[in-house]
Amino acid sequence: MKLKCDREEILQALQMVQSIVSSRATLPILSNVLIEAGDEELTLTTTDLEVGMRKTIKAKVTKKGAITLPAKRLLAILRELPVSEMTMEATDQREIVIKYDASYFRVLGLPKDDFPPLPDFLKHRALKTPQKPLSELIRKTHYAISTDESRYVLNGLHLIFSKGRITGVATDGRRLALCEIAANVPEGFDRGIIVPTKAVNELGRILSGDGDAEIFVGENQAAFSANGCTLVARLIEGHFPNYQQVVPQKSEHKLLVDREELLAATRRVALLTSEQSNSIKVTLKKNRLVASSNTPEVGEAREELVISYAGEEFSIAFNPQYLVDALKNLDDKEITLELTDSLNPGVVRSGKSFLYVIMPIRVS
Amino acid sequence: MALREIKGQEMAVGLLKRSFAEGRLAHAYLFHGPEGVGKELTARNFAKLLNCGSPKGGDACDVCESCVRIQKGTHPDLLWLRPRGKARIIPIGEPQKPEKGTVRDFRTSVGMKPYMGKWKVGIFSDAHTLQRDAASALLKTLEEPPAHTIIVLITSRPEALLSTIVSRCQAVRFEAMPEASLEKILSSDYSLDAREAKLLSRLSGGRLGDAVRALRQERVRETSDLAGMLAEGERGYWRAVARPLELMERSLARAADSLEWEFAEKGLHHEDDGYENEEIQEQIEAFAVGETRRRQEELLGELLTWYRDLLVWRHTGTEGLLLSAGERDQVARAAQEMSVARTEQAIQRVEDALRSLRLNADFHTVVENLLVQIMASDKQ
Repeated sequence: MKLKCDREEILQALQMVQSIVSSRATLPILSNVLIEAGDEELTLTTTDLEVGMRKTIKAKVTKKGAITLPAKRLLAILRELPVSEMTMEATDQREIVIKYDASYFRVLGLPKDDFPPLPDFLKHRALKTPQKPLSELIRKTHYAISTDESRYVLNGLHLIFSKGRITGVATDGRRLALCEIAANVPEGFDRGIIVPTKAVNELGRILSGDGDAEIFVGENQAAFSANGCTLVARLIEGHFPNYQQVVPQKSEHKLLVDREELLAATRRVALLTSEQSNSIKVTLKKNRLVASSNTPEVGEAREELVISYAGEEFSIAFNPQYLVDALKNLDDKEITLELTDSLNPGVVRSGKSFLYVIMPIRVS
Repeated sequence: MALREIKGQEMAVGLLKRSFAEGRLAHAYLFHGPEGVGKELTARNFAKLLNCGSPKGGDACDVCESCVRIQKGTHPDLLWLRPRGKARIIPIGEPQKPEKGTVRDFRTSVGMKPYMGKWKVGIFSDAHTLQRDAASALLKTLEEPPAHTIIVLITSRPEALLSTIVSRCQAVRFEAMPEASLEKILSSDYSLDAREAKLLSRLSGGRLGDAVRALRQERVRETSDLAGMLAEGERGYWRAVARPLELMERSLARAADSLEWEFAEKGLHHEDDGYENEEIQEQIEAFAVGETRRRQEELLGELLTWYRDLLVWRHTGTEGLLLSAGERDQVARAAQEMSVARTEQAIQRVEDALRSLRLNADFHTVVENLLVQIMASDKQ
């Protein structure tokens, strides 16, 4: 392997792909980045066996080849290099020399053979969709993914591809976030997959800008490509539970609420909750929504919002964090809050595409 | 290697091959039996069979990419958990961000579809070192593992496992082979002469893995030397205490050096030792602690066998009943010099010393004290 490339470009690419590299990996080679020199291009690949990242940049390749190098160390070297152009030459399967001006680094690595192969998705049909809505879908749902690994099917974002749209659903059993976006789903692409948390977070990171993203779905893995970067996610086993069951068919009261006002009020009232009594009370009375908290040994807080409401007075209790999570990730000025009584789940809607179900806390 | 090359475990290997061939695999297996008979070896080669790209005759091919990766320990679908750190435990892990090598992290990993193979194979070495909460956390996974998952628990102490764990696994029993069979293997495959083969199969109690390890560390010679020293009539601190003690400590050091080999066999040895990989460091540390302890007990076991032989000789005078590495004349002479009462007392003292070791006493202090006491009793 021998090539010449731009330091800034390879540095940026490495910064992109190295985020998933862990020093505690079970296989030492996972601390390395796979560097492959092909026709006029250089590809950097990392994986932690859960998520793989790949980025290709331009390079003047005089001899093709591949090697793996410790990612963090290479990153540190590239950061410090005082030049804009450098050459890399592999002297054997496990050693590379980086040259610039009259100086050089000789870096030891490992042969590429032990690196886990990233699946080849080129043979699969791609779903092309604009990045922006996809990134919004992730932002509006990712926080509801369960972190309890004993129910592994909930440890990811459920993506459903169906005619004309992509639906994302995440739940931890106490709240559920659902977001739908329009997409040109090719025929025969219909299916549901569960993308693990880490991959969802990384995907949120690589989606930026206005261009299209490409989605490939294989038997065990799915790949997402955008901005020259490809993310390969290992999918979660099993079937996502039937989430439609938990969405209330209809609610008694539909209230139009200013999102920012409710968000700010919830945050303030939550200041006087504690780990033991982690709930706030939402009380509806004539044209008022009252958010309050009352924690023994701590104190109480109360906020009033003016709304339009003419029904009976009643209260319902929620985990304030669950309300905050949803409200802060939405964009609309107004949201719809749907409530029935103190025991039935509450629903937050924003536009036609977003739905959030939140289980109330029973309080005596 | 492949399952067909595993020696002396026909029952266990046969059971695994059959359940694969008939497509009746259990969710979870419990490999139990003495140390050093091939439980880990069998688990690794079972994993090969499960994921082999072109199995032949009901066994893995051992040449496809999957087999090679499993052998090297670089297969992404092979999840091998081992006790970690000085405490030698398999922990449950932090709830939100479990570290690698913990049960919580394992549960997350097996919840995902296979990376490249057909099966995710989770292997737990020394499963009895699972911390209690870790074992409980594993129960649900054992009972109903995610699709494409097979779990193998390995232990030499099944009685130390929760009964709820044992009942969720298909038990696969591993046994030491008869010493005569091991003797044959040692003479044919490792070209040992008859005396060495006999002594080594006795030393290792019919456990091939232990015999091979002892061979690597030249233990046969060491054991003979130790017996020779014990047999020496001439007493005094230097001969009776310092020399045997020095020999034992040298033997421990040699055992520690040869651990590199073991790591390689377990796929823990990676050429990039320079890289910081805490996970593997912790596993190596745990392994070294366990091995040192084992070797220390074996050395005291040698002393026990020696004094036992003195009694046997005194009572029977039959050479065929002797177990130690001592020559017949050495045993005869030593038995002559040491009264039955003093020999029995010596045995008692070695057993006490073993107990102290298990309570974490320092090896040097325990053994020095032991030898001094035995020597002093001789002089009375």
